[in-house]
Amino acid sequence: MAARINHLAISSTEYALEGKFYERIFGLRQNTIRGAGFAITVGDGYMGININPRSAGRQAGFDHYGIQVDDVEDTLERMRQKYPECRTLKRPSNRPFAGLSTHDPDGNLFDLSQSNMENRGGIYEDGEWDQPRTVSHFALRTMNPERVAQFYMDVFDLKLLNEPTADGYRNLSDGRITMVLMPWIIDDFADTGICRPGPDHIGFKVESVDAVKEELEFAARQNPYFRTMPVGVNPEGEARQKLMQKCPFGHFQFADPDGVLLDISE
Amino acid sequence: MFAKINHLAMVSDQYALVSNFYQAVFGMKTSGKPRPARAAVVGDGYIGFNINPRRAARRAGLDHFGFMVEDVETVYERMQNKGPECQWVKRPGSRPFAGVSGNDPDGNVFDLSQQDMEQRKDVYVDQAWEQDRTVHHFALRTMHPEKCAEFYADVFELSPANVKNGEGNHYLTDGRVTMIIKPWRIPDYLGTGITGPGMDHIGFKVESVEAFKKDLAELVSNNPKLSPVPVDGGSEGGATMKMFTSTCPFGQHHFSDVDGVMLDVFED
Repeated sequence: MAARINHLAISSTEYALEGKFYERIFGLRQNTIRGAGFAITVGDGYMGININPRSAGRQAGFDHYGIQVDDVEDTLERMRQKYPECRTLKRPSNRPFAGLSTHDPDGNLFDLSQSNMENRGGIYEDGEWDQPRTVSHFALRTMNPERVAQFYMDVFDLKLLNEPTADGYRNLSDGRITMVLMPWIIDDFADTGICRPGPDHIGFKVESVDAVKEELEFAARQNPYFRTMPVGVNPEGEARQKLMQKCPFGHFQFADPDGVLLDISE
Repeated sequence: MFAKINHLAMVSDQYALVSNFYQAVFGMKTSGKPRPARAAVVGDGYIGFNINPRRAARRAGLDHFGFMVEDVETVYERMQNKGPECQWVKRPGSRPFAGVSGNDPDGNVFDLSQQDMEQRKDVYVDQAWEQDRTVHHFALRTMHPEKCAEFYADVFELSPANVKNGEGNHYLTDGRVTMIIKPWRIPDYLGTGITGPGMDHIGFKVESVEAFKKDLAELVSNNPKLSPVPVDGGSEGGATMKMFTSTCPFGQHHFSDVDGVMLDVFED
């Protein structure tokens, strides 16, 4: 079974600005085929990021992720056999990535697609390309990381990259993208605002961390709307940044203009 | 009454505007001793809303709820019997409501306070008052509603509310505010955007739904910046509204606030 993590989704009231930020800073390409009335979709040649306009009832922020498989029936059968509590829903045809949506045993929501599904479109059908700055990992905080890791190994054949660390982190890979599963423990938020379980941050591999830092400063001077949301600027922010620095992959942590946490490494 | 549900919290990119919305639409009041550099805090005389400015890493929207209890030590003791996943943590001194935050078995976060805790400020220490439009209920969707309902009944002594139990919901009350614990089931999102488990909506009791709708229309015509985010628009809005109206037995009129937090209102 071949599975690739090839979709991340953000919900934002500033969705158009967010799209331009990822284009400008990371060189992601925007697919404009669907027109200006829908979500912005940007990609790095492997991973697509849907930046959805926030609608009533939705929270803004890093929202979910998606996995493409070569045989969705096989995936569903594996879920039915071992994880019957994980239900699946077919999605409306106006969504360019998701043929189906489902969830893991902790209720972490993800989209599921097969390469020839009719729902796929936009950046997900554009073919692959290479570029210097690409998504390398994403992290989610969850109540039962061990069980959740087993789910992704059983259902998608993702590979465990590490023995569980003292912090209980588990890193799973599709061969290119790493999913970092962190235990959600309320103690970790002792000195900062508490975020409930769910997606935590997105990580990029870049050719030079210093070059990205310089570009962030330059872009914000050039266009003040590209100012990143400050992270470690007060005691609570410092505590949040320290928590994020536990991710084994990031070397520089910051947030996009809408507050989605990002880290980068070379 | 051992515990009082007296706190709801939102995170918003436009927290000051959201505060104005609740004052203008529901007649909620700010404290006589506001702290303008901090979260906006409004209340209805019983429950306080903290509308927190969004910071990096936080998701915007309806975020969590809170209890004031007679004795936090009793809560800790009861939580210890609910399994290792139910934890609590003491909070920084900058927060006007929460001395402590905790989580239920599904990771739903709540704040915890005791009447004499030093951290309480704003509307949480003001005298109670009466007003026409008040919070009646709030809802959350969670993976294991039965287990969570048992948690809140046992730890906070919330009582089952006298409501016909449709859709697998659990209803618990502190005597005034009802907590609706709904199952989070992905098939419920057929035809619309899926939100993960968590807080769902707030419900208000009003003197007259028709008067309320008229007031809201007049308010929006005077100040379009206070317009609710449309719920039933677009190709998926109808399904969102259907899901909202069919899974809460109280609401008679459904809409959202200026930041997209789902609200319903009803009259007796």
